[in-house]
Amino acid sequence: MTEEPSEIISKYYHALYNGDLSAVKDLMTEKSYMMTLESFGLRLSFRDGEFKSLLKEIEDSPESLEKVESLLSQEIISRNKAPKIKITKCEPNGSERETVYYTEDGKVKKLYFSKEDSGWKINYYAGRPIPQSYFSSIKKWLISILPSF
Amino acid sequence: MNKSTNQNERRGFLSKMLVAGASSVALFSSSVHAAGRTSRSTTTKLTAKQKDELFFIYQEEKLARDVYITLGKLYPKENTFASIQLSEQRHIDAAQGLCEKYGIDISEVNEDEVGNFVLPVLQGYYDDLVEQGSESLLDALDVGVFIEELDIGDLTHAIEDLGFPADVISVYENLREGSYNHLESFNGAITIASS
Repeated sequence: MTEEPSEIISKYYHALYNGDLSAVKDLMTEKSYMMTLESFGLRLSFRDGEFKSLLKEIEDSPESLEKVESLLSQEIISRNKAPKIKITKCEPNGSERETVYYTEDGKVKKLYFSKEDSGWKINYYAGRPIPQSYFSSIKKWLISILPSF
Repeated sequence: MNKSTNQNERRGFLSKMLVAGASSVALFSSSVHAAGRTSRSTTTKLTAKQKDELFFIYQEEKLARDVYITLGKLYPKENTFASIQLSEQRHIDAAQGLCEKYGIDISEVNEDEVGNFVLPVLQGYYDDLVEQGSESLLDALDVGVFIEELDIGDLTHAIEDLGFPADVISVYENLREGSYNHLESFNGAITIASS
């Protein structure tokens, strides 16, 4: 059964802060996963030149990717974070994308999702608003006025 | 209220920049050139993936500017942040021009909100880069190097791998050239600060 984006967010945070990057990888598009490693690896890369070099190679070298995942997993666990996630709104963006609004320890955030072959995935590039077609605008309007009949 | 304060702060910082010296002229000249290119008309249609990339790069340019604004306030005697921040504003304008030209809705992005990002990954970058840059001037300059290398990598990917039409490539090449100039400036400032 396909998981909804709002369910994926809780899984994502749980996996991330438990250092389970292979689970995180399954929840995201490949490009977004690489960006997550780069973003979360930033602190470590400023402290460790070797890690910084490895991080630059993750898209081309499976060995570097594996080492980065292992080192970063330990570093994220050491942050000892377990943020409270509260979903506030889910908003479709066209038929293949969705934006989920939520709070992370009270801080307002949002994540974008795109529908891939294997189901919904977190996709940082899926935030661009998709213009609605004339047909879908009419359909949305009809649905909105139906209860008044 | 906050928005107005931010705008005033930015204006104040930008005004200060105008007296920062002739070196800044060279730094942002390439991006002015880039912005000018966006006014050409085109009939080319972009794919959804290409549009996503334009939208992303627009926001990535904002990341660079916002980090430099924040670090510039922390280290007001270091003119590199001030001069490059102004150049980054031209980069944002050039990237915004491309978005508008290709009908990409950027209304969700509020340029005036310094340090606030639509994309969570960019917000994470901003928070961590500012935290890192707050450690010392040298760390802040290292952050500048990191950002410029990130920009150069992403622009190179966009130029070489995504099949963009010539007008987009032309703008991105100019942005990349600007980033190389910024990188050189940061490395020069690191040499001076380390001596």
